[in-house]
Amino acid sequence: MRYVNEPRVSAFFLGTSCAVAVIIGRVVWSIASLSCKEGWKNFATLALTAGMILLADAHPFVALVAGVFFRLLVADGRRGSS
Amino acid sequence: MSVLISLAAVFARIGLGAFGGGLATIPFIHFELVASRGWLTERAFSEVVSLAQMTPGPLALNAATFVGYRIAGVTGACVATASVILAPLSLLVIVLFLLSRASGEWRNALSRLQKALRPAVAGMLLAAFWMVARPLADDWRLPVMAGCMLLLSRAGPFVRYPQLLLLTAGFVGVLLL
Repeated sequence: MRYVNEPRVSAFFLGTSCAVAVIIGRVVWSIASLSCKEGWKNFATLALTAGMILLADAHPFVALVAGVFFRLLVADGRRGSS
Repeated sequence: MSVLISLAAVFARIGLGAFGGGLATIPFIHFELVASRGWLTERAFSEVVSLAQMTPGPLALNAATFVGYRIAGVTGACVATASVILAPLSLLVIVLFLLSRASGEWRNALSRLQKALRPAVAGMLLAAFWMVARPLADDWRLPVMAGCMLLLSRAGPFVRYPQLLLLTAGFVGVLLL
């Protein structure tokens, strides 16, 4: 960490950040596509949670709780199904 | 002393928010350390996430050690690491104790809660991806490199050993950037 501002070390970290984005992107894709296959309610919950964090700058815990409450709310009509 | 108390409180909150595994803590780390306190810049945040992914162990734990060290030396690293482990561990012990005494109705309610938690955690992961991917747009070479890494990530050895992908990307970065 002492050498993190050295140009070569900095370039190394910039390079690895590309791979980190790819690794996270692949995890997100597999979880999100699996989740969204179960219906629009899951997709809406995913969009609400991500939107609250990225667009409204909400605390992630608040966004998570809002997403869970929304999903529980829309599930009330047909409990047990998606 | 107040810095150590702040570190302990911040990393306890990050640990308690780790629903859905290590990657889901990225939005918490970003909110607490970049947006709320300014302890890290966007660039330093990317470096911490990269470093935490490259080293063995869970992401939140590694990030706690690195950030704690950066802010308050070895003591800071120990305090931040202990907080990020002990806070969720304490909660887990309490929840497991309550679950062992819970009735069938409560178990059903918990099952519904778990089902509702899954898409919300997927949303957290999407936010984490955006936080890591957004700074790549600053230099046109980085999205190109990310595209090449995406293709490479499907090749045999890189599927088995993702660390190899990180190392390759790092060395390509040294050569090209």
